[in-house]
Amino acid sequence: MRKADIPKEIEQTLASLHGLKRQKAPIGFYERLNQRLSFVEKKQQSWMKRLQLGVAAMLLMSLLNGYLYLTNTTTSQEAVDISDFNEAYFDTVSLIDYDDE
Amino acid sequence: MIESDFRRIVLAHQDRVYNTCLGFVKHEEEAEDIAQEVFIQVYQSYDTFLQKSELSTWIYKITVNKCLESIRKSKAKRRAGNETNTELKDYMLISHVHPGIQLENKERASILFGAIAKLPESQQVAYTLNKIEGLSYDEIGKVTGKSKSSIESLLHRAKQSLQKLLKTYYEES
Repeated sequence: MRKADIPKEIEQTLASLHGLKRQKAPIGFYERLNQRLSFVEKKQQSWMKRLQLGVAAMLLMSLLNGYLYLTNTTTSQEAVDISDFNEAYFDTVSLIDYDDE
Repeated sequence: MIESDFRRIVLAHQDRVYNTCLGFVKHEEEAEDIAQEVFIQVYQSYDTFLQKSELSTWIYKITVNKCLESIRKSKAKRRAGNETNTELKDYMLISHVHPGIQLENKERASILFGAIAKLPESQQVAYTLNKIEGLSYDEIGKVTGKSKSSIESLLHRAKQSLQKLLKTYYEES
């Protein structure tokens, strides 16, 4: 393109949107939109169900936890004396005496 | 939202929304896809619409945001695909043009749309809403949340940038 023609070409390019015809939404747009919307809603409902199930499961677990905590409290009488472990593990083990050569 | 209300809103605004989407993405199927997303958003958020602005302005806002979102996504995809076609000459020849363009203007419009795509987002929105959708400065201001004078200045800068881009393009070709 010749340099002298460039300004005119730019103006014509900028004017190329003049007379643009507005486009109408394609036929059946609403029907397709409705189908998609019901699909999206179903998907969201299934997520909500999953979320509800998750929350219910967590609630059940915490209730069970609480119940177990309250019923299984160990009393001091039931507690095992630590000296029993000491006897059981250390008094029966023969240690190597390194000094005895 | 009652279905009959939704139907009424869709039928009243579907052409405007679709035409605006076409102005941004130029591809008919993509434009319909975005237009559907717009109305799904309208359906889901209608209860939170406070009616501070007109319904049509609110729908335009959603439309513009959805279109920009889609453009950003496709730009990111192109970047991820290592499409490094940054030469202005190649970049400005886009294959899809708004179908409402007159036949004799198609080639020039394709170049112009390529140049519009290179503008900053705010200028792109103002230019598209004004030249394709035919909105007034006031209406664009309401949609974008800017004053009339800043829309005027955005459009002025957009035109200047387009002239520069087109000059470079024609000098190279």
